[in-house]
Amino acid sequence: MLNDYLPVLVMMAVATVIAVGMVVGSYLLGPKKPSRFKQSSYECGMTPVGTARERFPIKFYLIAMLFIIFDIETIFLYPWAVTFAGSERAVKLFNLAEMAIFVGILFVGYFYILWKGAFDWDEGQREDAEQPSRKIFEPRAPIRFGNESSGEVRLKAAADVSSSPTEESSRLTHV
Amino acid sequence: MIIPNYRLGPIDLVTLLPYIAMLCIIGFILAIVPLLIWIERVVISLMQDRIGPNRVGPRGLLQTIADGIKLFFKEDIQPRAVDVRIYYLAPVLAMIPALTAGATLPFSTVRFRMEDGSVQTFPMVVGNVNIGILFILAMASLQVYGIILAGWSSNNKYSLLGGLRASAQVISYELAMSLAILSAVLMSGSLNLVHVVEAQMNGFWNWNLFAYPPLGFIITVIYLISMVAETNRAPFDLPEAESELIAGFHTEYSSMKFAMFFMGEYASMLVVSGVAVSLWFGGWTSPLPLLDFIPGFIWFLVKLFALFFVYVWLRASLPRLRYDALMNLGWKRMLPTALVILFLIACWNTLRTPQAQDANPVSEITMAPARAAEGER
Repeated sequence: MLNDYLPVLVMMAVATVIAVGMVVGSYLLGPKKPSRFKQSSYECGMTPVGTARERFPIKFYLIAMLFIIFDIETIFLYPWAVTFAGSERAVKLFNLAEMAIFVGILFVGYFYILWKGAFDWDEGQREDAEQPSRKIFEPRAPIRFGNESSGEVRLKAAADVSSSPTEESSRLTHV
Repeated sequence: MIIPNYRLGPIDLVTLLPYIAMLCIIGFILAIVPLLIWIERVVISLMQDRIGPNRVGPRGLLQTIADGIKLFFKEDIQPRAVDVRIYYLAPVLAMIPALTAGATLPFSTVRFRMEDGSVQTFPMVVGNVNIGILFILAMASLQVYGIILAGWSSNNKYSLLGGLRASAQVISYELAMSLAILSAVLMSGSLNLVHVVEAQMNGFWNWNLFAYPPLGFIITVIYLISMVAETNRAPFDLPEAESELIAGFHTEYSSMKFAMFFMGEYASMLVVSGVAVSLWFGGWTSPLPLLDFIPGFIWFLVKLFALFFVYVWLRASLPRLRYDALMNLGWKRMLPTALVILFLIACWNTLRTPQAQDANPVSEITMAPARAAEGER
C-alpha cells in the first residue's frame, strides 16, 4: 500500500533537485555586475517611493476566510461522493437526504454572506450592502467615471449639509 | 501493443513502471514547454494576422530554446529591498508542485506478457494511489504559496498586488473546480484517476462529458473555466496584467528565476488539462472502439493539445476581466451552479439505480454482530 507512494516521493525529490538546480545554475552562470540603480525596486523607472510593506485591502483576508469555510465543506463532500456511487438505492436515498440537509444549511450561510455583501468587491456595491433592506439579486449600479462621479459626491455632500447644519464643517473638509 | 517480456534481464519492468512514468512526465514537461510557448506565439500571430516568430530555426521553432539559454546566462539581479531567503525560495516553491502534480495522472497503458503467458494491462502512472485526484488538488493549492511569497518578498508594490490578486483568484476558483471534480468522482465512484478513466472506456458516448445530459456538459464547462482561472491565464490573467501591474508577482525576478515561474505556469496548465482529459474526455482511451490500435498516450496527447489550443484561443479572443467581475463570476455564479448540479447528478444517479431485488446486503452486515451476540446468549 505505502509502496504505491514511494514513486510519488521520488518524483517530489527529483522535482526539488531540478528546481534548486535551476536557481543555483543561473546564480553561478550569470555575470555579477551590481549597480545602485539596477538593484533598486522597479517602479516604472521612477525613484521608488517607500516600501511595499503597507496595508492592503481587507477584502483579501475576507476571501481567504470564506475560502476556508467552503473548502472544508467540499472536503466533507468527497468521502460522501465516493461511498455514494457504490451503494444501492435505499442507502442512496438516505445519503441524499443527509446531503440535502448539509447543503441546505450551507446555502443558508451562503445566502447570508451574499446578503451581507461579502462577495461585492467594489466600493459602490459595498455602500449598498450596508442598507439592511437590500434585495439579494439587485441589478448592478451603473459605473461612473472621473468627473461625473466627483460631481456626484459634491452634490450628495451639499444635500447632507442642508439637512444637518451641525456637521457642516466636517463634511466640507471631507469633500 | 504487447511487450513480450515483463523482465529486462534481472530487472522487473512492472515494479519499474512508475519510475519510467515519472521520467516520462518530468521529461515531457521540461521538453514540451518551449514547444508550447512556440505554438502559442505562432497560433496567436496567425489569429491576429501577423507573422510571429520566424528568425531562429525553421518558422522560429528554436526561438524559445534560444530564449531559455539566454535567460540562463543573464545576470541574476538581486534587488536591495527584497527578503533574500524567501525571494530565492519562491520560484522553487512554484516549480516543485507544478512538476509533482502529474504524479497521479495516468497517461497510457502498457500490456505485458507475464510469466504464465497471460497478458496483463498496467496503467502508466507514477502513483497508482486511491487518493489520486486529491493529491493533484493539494499540489495545485501549494502552487499559490510560490506566487504569494514571490509577491511579498519582492518588496515591490506591483508584485505585492499581483501576488495577492493571484492568491485570491486561485482560492476562489478552486472551490468551483473541486466541486466540478467532485461530480466526476460521483459519476465514477472513485478518487483514483485510473478507475475514473476505466469507467469511460469503449467510445466517446461513455465519456463523463456526455453523462447525465446536459449536466455533465455544464459541469465540464465549469471545470474548464475554473481551470483557466486557476492557472492565471487570459482572460483571467489579472495577477500579471501588464498594463497595470507591469508583470505582477515576477516583476523583480530576472534570469532563470523568471523563467521558472513561466515553466511552472505552463506545467500546471498541462496538469490541469490532463486532469480535464482524464475526468471528462476519457483519458487515454480512444473515442471510437475501432481506433483502439492507436496507443493510449497518443490519444492522451491529442486531447491535451486540443485543450492547450483552447487556452491559446481564449487568450487571442477574450479581453481581460475586471477584478470585481472575476470575483462575481467565481463566487456568485460558478460556486452555487456547481453545487446545484452536483446535487442534481446525485438525485439522477439515485433514480437510475434499480431497486434492490433480494435481501439487503448492508443490513446483513449490520445484523451479523447482533446475531453472534444472540448465539452467545
